[in-house]
Amino acid sequence: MMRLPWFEWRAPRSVADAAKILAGEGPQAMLIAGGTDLVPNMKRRHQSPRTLVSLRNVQELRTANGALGAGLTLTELVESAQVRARYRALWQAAAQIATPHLRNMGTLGGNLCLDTRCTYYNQNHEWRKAIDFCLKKDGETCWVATASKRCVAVSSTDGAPALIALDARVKLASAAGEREVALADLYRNDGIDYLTRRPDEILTEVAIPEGWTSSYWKLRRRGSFDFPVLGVAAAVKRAKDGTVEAARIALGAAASRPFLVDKAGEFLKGRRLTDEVIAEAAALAASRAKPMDNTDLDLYWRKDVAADFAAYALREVRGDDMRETRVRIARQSLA
Amino acid sequence: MMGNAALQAAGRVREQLAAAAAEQLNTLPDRVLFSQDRVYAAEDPGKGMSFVEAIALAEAKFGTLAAVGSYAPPKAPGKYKGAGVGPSPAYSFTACVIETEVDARTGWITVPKVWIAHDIGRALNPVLARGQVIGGVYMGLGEALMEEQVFRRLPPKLSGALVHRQPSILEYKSLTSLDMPEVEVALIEEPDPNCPYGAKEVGQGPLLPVMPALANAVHDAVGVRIDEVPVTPDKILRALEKKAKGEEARVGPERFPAVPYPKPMFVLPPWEGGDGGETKEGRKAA
Repeated sequence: MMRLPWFEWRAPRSVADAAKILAGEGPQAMLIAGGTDLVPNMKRRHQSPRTLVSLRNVQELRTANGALGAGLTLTELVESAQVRARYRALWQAAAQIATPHLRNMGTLGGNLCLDTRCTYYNQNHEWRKAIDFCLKKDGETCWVATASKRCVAVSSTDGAPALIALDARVKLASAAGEREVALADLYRNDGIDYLTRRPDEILTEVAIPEGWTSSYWKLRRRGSFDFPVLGVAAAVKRAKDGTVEAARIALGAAASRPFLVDKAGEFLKGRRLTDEVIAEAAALAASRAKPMDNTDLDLYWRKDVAADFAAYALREVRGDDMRETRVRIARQSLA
Repeated sequence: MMGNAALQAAGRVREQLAAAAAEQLNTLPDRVLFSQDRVYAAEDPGKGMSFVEAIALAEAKFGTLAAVGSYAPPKAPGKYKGAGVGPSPAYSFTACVIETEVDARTGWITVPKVWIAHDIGRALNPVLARGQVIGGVYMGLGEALMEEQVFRRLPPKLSGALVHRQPSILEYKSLTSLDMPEVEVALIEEPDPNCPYGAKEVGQGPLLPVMPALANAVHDAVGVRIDEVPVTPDKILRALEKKAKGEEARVGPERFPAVPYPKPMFVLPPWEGGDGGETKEGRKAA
């Protein structure tokens, strides 16, 4: 049986108090919000923090006027008419995260800080011990790419690519003060050190600019539960005549970080979203997907269909009725 | 087979109940009737007791009510392997139709609907029987589309260990309720004389036709044969590529496994006078 390791539990009521605790405890302390990622990881001894600092009682993380509080649950995002209408990609991403039970607990901030995943890493302690552990935790070899000096665990957040396409910025608070970064800059392409967030910082809110038409498509085997093995988010702003004024395409689960494909966005600028233009932009986006053999489904096939998924997202932002395709892919219409 | 044994055991418990009730009703055990939750004497239906009271009487008389039933199946019709499958006195059959949509660009498979007819003999509890059939479809689709045991060898220089590609239930996937298609069940009832009240199995029988039906539906949709489970989008795409190149449009094992089969023998069917033994003349004729 997998039991939790011992830890100390702190439950501050404000961001300032939480930041003070983090500053005092140092890197041995970890934040916990919904716990849907951290608790199973602790049971498998991926993380054994000395102190857990709970954010559940911090009301200021749950505001939704203007910026979205990092403590909002994924269910709250899915049920928010504002999120659904204005930030469609985020809404579609949130609606496809895990299962209803996990969305009731999991938070926006937690999803953005989700630990990277790998079939050699997300196993119990005994299994990992039997293969002498891996580069990400307690071992020296990356079993996915044995020649690699870098951990190639996959960024598996759905929220991040959606919000990167939406050009979101996040606020990080610590005892030393606050800073704001573009969400894309929160991530590093390193399966171990995948966040640029310092251990003493708290992700407090996500600010999303208005005016984007957006869409998120998730590839996974089943209609529920599974983490993405590819996520494509697209956001565009168009002139009245349909010419693209700005476009952002982001990929998730295609590297150790979610990232923006600048080339695809630049290509779309000044063009209309014709089938040919969409195909070319989708191919540009897909060329940046470098999946590894450490998640579900066939590696080469995942690479093959990346352009199709990018095209689905672009066709949806163009205004095509994608419900039938969506029901086939996602097993729900998400319209 | 177990149904027949259970029926016999239940009959023996009924005898205990009848014996206890007969004492109370001042009649003979074989004059005791059981009907509509009541236990009474045949000659005076007004006088009697509830079923629960009969149980209490029987428990007081015999202690814990228990009986053992058993059943030995009839002799196999032939002596050769394959003359009968296991020791069952009867076999059920299932027919399955699967509707499948396959995206020829990505190989993505969708199963919107399944029709399945199960030859059950007699449905003693139709609701449960339908549930069993739907469960069989669920299990069959998991096998057809997802479940797989794959091992990979870690580099011999570093480890050489053989490890599961899907070591936990998060990776070894079965359908979620969102992936489960609508299932239309038909229970085909033709009581089998060898079975308890004519009822045949509804265990995992309905599972069997699901995998081949799915593979055939994929063939019907895009004209490729996937001759192994699970049938996955990458295999369909690979087969479609082969088809486009004019190669054999199939993905699956390249050869039949080497099996040491016994020497073939010729046996006449019972209606031609065969007794299960080998027929020398028949072999000549064949």
